[in-house]
Amino acid sequence: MSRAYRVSIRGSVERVVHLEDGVSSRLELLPILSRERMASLLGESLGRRGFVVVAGRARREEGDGVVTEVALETGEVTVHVARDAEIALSRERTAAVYEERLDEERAALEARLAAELDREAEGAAEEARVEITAALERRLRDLAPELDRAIAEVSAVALEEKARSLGEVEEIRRDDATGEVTIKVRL
Amino acid sequence: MTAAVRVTRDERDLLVVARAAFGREPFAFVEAVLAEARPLRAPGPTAMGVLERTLARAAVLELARSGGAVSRARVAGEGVARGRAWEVAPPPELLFSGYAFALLRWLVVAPLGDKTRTVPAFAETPRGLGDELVARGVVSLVRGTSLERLVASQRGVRASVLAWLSHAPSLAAAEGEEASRDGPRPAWGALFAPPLSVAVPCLEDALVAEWVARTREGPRGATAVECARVGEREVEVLRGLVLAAREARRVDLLTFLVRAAARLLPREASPEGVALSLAARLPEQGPLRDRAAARRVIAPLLRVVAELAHDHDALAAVRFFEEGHAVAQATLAAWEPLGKDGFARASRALTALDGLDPTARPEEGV
Repeated sequence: MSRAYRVSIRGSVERVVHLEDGVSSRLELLPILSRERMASLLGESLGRRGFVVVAGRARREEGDGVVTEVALETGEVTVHVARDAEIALSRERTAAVYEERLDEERAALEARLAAELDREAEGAAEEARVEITAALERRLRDLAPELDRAIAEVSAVALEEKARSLGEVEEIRRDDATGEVTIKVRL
Repeated sequence: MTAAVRVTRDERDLLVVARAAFGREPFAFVEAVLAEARPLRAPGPTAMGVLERTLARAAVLELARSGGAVSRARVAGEGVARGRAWEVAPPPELLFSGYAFALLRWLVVAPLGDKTRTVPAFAETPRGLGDELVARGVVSLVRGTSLERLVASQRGVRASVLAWLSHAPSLAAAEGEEASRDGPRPAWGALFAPPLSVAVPCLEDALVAEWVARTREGPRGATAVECARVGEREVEVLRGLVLAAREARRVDLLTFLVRAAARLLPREASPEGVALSLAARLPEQGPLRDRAAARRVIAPLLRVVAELAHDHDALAAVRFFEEGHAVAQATLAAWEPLGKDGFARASRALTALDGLDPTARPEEGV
């Protein structure tokens, strides 16, 4: 008569998963002045908004691991998030097995537990990925209009400079609601 | 009066599939024939005679109904003449080679709907305008059905330039399928030489309707990655078409793209709103990087039409004493439904799609 054993298996997974997400686009910077001057005005405008300008790139940390970078000459903007997620899981499984199949059943139980842990770890990594994507989405909602305002500001300043180079500026009217700028110049 | 003819059951299957390929029978009528493996012995002379007449009449009717019968300004040689297609240029030769028969036969004998069986590949090459029309019609027949990917992935179907012209989205979507690996790319050059250069204006109205419908259908993929892959391929295919048209100095044959864009971007609608409505149907799961990539190519037609602004300007710059003035003016008139500002509207739609926030919705972007 075969005897039954209770077999307990303990397994654990410890992983560090590197997660990344990001989007990029191009700011519509009108070529009102020279490329270098437009880049300089954009740098100043972004500087007032907390960006740090180094070697032609403006960079700002947004929190939650989100970083915004703007290449001033090309207007290429990249919003990027990167984070390492630590995944630590530990599970125990118990099964009753007969003596003559002890090794076989133990191996099968170990394999099942390993597969289960693997699935759970992948699920946890996906959850973390969804979390960083959500953080990025939240940040983009505010960032896109903020960058639009910066571009409008740069365009207005550039137009003023251009007008001054053409003649004597008599009047400048700004409509903050529409972003419209009217400049009267005596040539 | 048409006399009744007697054909065998096998021959009947072949004939109804031929009719269906030209929209003369609905898909439901031939679904079982396509899905199952039906036997097909060599058709007799009576059935072959009926098949020849069916293909010839259906092809002529297709060319006439799809735009050939409309009296409009048409490019004829170096000049422009007003009239129906056959009034301004000699009718194109409608050659149906063994390709047309082989494709119809393949549809009958291959078990296209049976996933448990291996489907033999169809890898013939079309030889004439008739073959091209059959290939185009076959993809139209299965479009939107469970057989679309399988049919669109066949090398023989992908060798048809008219199938690409009408159904680039279907053929691009099927690119991941095994049968399409290393398959032929659209040979657009053939489109700008007779007989296809004569046939394309005859298909113009149908091409407009097809491209409008396909763009409005939205994304072609279950995931953002798949949507991006298909969309990028469509853009590449359409850019290839535009380049070939420029090389052949026949941008007039791209009028269908411009007319389709005019329908998609009516003057009273906000271009940003139209673009974001299309993007709103993309999958909302997955990394933003993938969703942004899918969004950029959700409307390949608009992306390519925006690039035609340069061609519009070039046509407008042709002076009255220069060669090609009449063709340029006729093309500009045909592009008038979109108009010069329409190209700018297409660009505004693309700017909305290229924006930083790939989750922006129509009400936010308008």
